[in-house]
Amino acid sequence: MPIVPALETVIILQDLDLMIAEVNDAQSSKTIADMGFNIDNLDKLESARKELLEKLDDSILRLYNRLSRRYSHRVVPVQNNICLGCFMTQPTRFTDTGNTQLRTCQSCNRILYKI
Amino acid sequence: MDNKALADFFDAELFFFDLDVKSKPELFRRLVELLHEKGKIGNKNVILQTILAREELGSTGLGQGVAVPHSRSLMTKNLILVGCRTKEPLDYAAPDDIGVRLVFLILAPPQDPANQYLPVLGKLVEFVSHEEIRNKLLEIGTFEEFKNLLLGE
Ligand SMILES: [Zn+2]
Repeated sequence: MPIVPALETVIILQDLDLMIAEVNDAQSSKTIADMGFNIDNLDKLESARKELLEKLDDSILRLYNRLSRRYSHRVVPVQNNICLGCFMTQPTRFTDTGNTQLRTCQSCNRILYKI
Repeated sequence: MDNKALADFFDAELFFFDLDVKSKPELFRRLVELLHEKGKIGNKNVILQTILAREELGSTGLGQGVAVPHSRSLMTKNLILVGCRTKEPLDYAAPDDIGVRLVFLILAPPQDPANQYLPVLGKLVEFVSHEEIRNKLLEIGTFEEFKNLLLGE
């Protein structure tokens, strides 16, 4: 399924932010480190994050940052026209071309990714 | 979580013996391509970038020739477990610098209601921590043999 580059970048950014949040969470980072995994180079994730930010338009970045203040999941799946962030049905039908545009939920404003 | 529950996450379609790859980036590219071919992920590039970012954080090589790359991504609907043995040992920047041939890739969605991701990761790490298991993993040739090994049969 084709995906607009801005949506792709914003999903990579969210994956990265969730990874950073997991490392910053004392309990989950301890669990992962205790299994024997190396999670030492948080600075490398931060610099990868900075590079990603440069690829995003200001308006999308502002939206993402605004959503970040309210939600840990800023990009959420939409399935059968239902936003899986807030479970509200979307008034506009998502067609097969759903990911060729960056869209937001009409109710919670989260960025939507059609699955 | 027990070995039976872990075994249920494996898929014969996602178990690859003697994959012919020469480097860690090539390994990830191939696994992501295979996942995409089999319709398991929505987008190759996002998954690849996320796996590579996790390696930047620190190598997922555990030593003794085993690596367990893992990540959450919006591009996966369900927890995915991939088993892979490479043809040749790979330079994986593992803590003991031993080349890696046994690779288990775990991908999970960000919102994972049953919260399976860390228990699966933990169980898998425990499974491969046994030397006799690792030795057998280097010898077996079918998914059935793998399952029997996991189920202790
Ligand atoms: Zn919503």
